[in-house]
Amino acid sequence: MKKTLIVLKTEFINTVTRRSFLLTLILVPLLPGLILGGISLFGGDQITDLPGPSTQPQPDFLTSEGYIDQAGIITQTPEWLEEGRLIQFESEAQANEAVRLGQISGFFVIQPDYLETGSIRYISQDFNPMEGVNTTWLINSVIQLNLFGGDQAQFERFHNPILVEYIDQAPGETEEFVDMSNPIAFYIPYGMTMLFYILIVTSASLMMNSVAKEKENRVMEILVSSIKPRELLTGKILGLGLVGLLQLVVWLGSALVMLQLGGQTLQIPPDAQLSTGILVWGIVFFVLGYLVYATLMAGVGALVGSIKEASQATFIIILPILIPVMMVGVIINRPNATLPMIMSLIPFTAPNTIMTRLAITPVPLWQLLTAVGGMAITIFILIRAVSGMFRAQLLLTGKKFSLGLFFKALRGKHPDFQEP
Amino acid sequence: MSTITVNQVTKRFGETLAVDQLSFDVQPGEIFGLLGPNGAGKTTCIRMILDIFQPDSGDISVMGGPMSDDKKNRIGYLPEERGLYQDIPLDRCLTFLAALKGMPEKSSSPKLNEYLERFDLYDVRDKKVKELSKGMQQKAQLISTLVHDPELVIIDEPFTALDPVNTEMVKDILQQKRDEGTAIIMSTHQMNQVEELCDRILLIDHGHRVLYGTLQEIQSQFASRDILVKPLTHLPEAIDGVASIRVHNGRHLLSLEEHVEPNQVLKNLINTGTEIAAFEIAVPPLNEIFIQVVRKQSRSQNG
Repeated sequence: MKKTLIVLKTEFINTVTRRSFLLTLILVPLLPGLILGGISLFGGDQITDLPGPSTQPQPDFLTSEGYIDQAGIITQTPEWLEEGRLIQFESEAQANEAVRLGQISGFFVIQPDYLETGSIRYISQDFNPMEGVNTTWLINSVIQLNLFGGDQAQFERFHNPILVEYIDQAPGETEEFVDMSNPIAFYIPYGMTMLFYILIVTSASLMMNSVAKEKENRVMEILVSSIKPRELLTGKILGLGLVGLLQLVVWLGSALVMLQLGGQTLQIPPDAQLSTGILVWGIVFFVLGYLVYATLMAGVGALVGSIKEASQATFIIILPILIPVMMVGVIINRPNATLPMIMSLIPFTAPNTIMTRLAITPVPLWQLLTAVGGMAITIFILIRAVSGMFRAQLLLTGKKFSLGLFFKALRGKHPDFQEP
Repeated sequence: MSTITVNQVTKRFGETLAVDQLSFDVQPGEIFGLLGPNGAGKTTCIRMILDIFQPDSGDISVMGGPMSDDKKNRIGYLPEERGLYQDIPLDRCLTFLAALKGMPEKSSSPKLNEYLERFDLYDVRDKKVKELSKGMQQKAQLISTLVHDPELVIIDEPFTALDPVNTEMVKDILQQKRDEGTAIIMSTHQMNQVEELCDRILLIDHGHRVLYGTLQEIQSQFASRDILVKPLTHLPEAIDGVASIRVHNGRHLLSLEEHVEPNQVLKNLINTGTEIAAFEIAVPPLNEIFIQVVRKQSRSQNG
């Protein structure tokens, strides 16, 4: 136990004092920070979410804009449009004056031949890099509504012709879904899948690099003559797990700080906000997912001759956790269908499948507990197998790494790994 | 009590028989030469002693019993396949390796500094290991092997990459450790170092014990009926009891006739009025014994 703590401490210090790690730690939050700063500078001043129908486009940087309707087509505006957001002007002179006074950031001129040509001009005083990306959706929605003769219901059905409600006939189970018509609510489970994938894979990759470096530096034999392989593996997993946690805290913390410094707030609808329960399960499945993949990566690291050799193997090893990312649409649409349920019970796909589902709907407790149990057993088996690899890799010096060798070693089937 | 007792140990890897029914012991206060050609089973044997591998059959006793965590802390090991963490400062690397041998940072620090000064590495202790020369890294590895004052030292080719001055220093340290009661197993192909340092040797080939005993015992087993003479005056061309005379490394190698004892030849030489500076029974160098034995083994293995 004492030696495990020594390995943990050394692994943590060695990793966090590495220049490449420090650069990644600082640059990753810095780049989005600069982008956000740029948006603040050139775009609006607040990120918000507007209540309204699902036809409402993405949240935007709110500023007032104007329009001059030379075609005479606008008689109504959507119910959800905030007052003062889109102001009608009679002439370009009036609109230009409003721009000059800073009342609006720019204005649209709907040309008299709009119905034939679709031609609209946008006039603003300053160059804005977000122009065209963020400003046209509003006038677009207003014009669409008026082209439907102002019928809000038809307008809504045109954009969302069907809203399918899937009902599974499992007895005793009722499903509560987050309203997916809200874009932010849709992106939360999607983001959850990606976040778990990135967090687990980056943390586990640190592990593979660390073990492969030890092999490259030829210190493994000295280590296994001083400490039990299992203690060594556990110390490394915990030390690098803490590094991953530090990375997570710094990145999330800087994201919050930057948002506050920029005077911006992200308003998430109440039904899409993450509950404490999800956060608790999030921590459980992050830790378990990290342990599964970090142990597998340690095995790869122990068998490869160099870090370069590990790249092809890494892809195969992380493939299972990539599957929920590739199938995120299926999981979001039917989170409690058979396929997402099976993926939740397989230890290698469980972490991000379950977290995606939890962001949408309650997951039955038995599935959560089965997944936790299955992952715990897998971790136990993997740590035993990979500890054996730490000893046996000493026999493999000079042998080329192959996935066949890895999987044989994992099952203890390779002749060189047969310990009595 | 023997520091190590290896009793009838066998180890296979798949179809390969790495060590076959091997037995030997190592005593405190001796330098024990573990010799053999490449692939003879020396490293497997060392790894079994260190509990990195388990033997298929037979027993290994280290410091009076099976290996334990506490005993691992009392062993210094310099493997053939060795290295150091390249991307961290030397003192951090050595402190970590000492900690794994049960030395807390507080107690390892003065001891490490003492060794760093002795090995002329103190001024580079803050440098990253990869910035050090090969010889410096070799010295650093020796420090990590010895810093925790082990009762058993196992070293594989300890003189690789060392210049003559450092080689002498390491030899002095090993002899000093032996005098303090440390058991040292040294595996090397440098037979001159074995002759100079080792008290006993074990030569293994294809996993079998081929030679085992004190250096003197083994050399006398292979001694021929030759005598080396260094005369101060002219040596007669014919001496009673001597079949032939050759000049060998500035000395005269006298091959004796059958049933003639060296004492008789010495008497005959004195009777001829020859003044003698040195008269000794020619002992074959260990290098020759090694080659002779390994070739013989190889011939018998091949058929």
